[in-house]
Amino acid sequence: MRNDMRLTYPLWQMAGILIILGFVLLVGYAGTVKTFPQGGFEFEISLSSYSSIFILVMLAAVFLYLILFVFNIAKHNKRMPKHKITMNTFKPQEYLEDDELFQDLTKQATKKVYTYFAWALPIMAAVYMLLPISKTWMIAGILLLAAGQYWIFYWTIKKFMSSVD
Amino acid sequence: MLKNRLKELRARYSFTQIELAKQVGVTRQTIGFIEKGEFSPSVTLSLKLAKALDCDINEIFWLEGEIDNEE
Repeated sequence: MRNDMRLTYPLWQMAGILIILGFVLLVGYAGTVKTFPQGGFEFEISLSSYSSIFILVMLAAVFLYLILFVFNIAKHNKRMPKHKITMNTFKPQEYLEDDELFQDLTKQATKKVYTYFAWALPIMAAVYMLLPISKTWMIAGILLLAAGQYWIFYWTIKKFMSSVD
Repeated sequence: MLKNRLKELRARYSFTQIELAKQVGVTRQTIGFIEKGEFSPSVTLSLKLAKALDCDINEIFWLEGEIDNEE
């Protein structure tokens, strides 16, 4: 199972979230949105030399990410035809349900994620209500929260797999 | 806590973990974790293991303290 991409899939999700976070910060700092009283809105993005470099780096990261992601999925599906990663399902790809041991492990990991959200969401809502946080950082916070769930899932599975001889 | 002598019975038939796992339709890791006592299998899997090892389910699994009490 060492080369099973389902184990590292949460890390790919986290990387995708970090790329989205980069664009959110870019739009948040370089973009302006004007809303008109008669309806509609105008979006303007002004790029300084720094933000131009940043956007180029981000676009390169997206390109590289997509190539590596698709390549690794293809490699995984070729190596493990019984446990293909496919986008034709709503079930998260990182679930390991090969047999009852792995079903149990997935249940443990999802329980941890549930506990994490049960605490993190109300805390985040309270922080957003009490502190003057900009819309950009609110979205950034939500993205980091989402990345956290993947980290918890990944860490639980990794810890278990390292105990497998 | 569930105790077992799966490793001992598996050795009796000279089965490897992979061979036994294939017979009962699970992964090698599952057999390993059951042997170490870190995973309690379902009734279905326990019955499959008993069948594969040609013995009674009570010969493979018992509750901690049960044998001591009987003795």
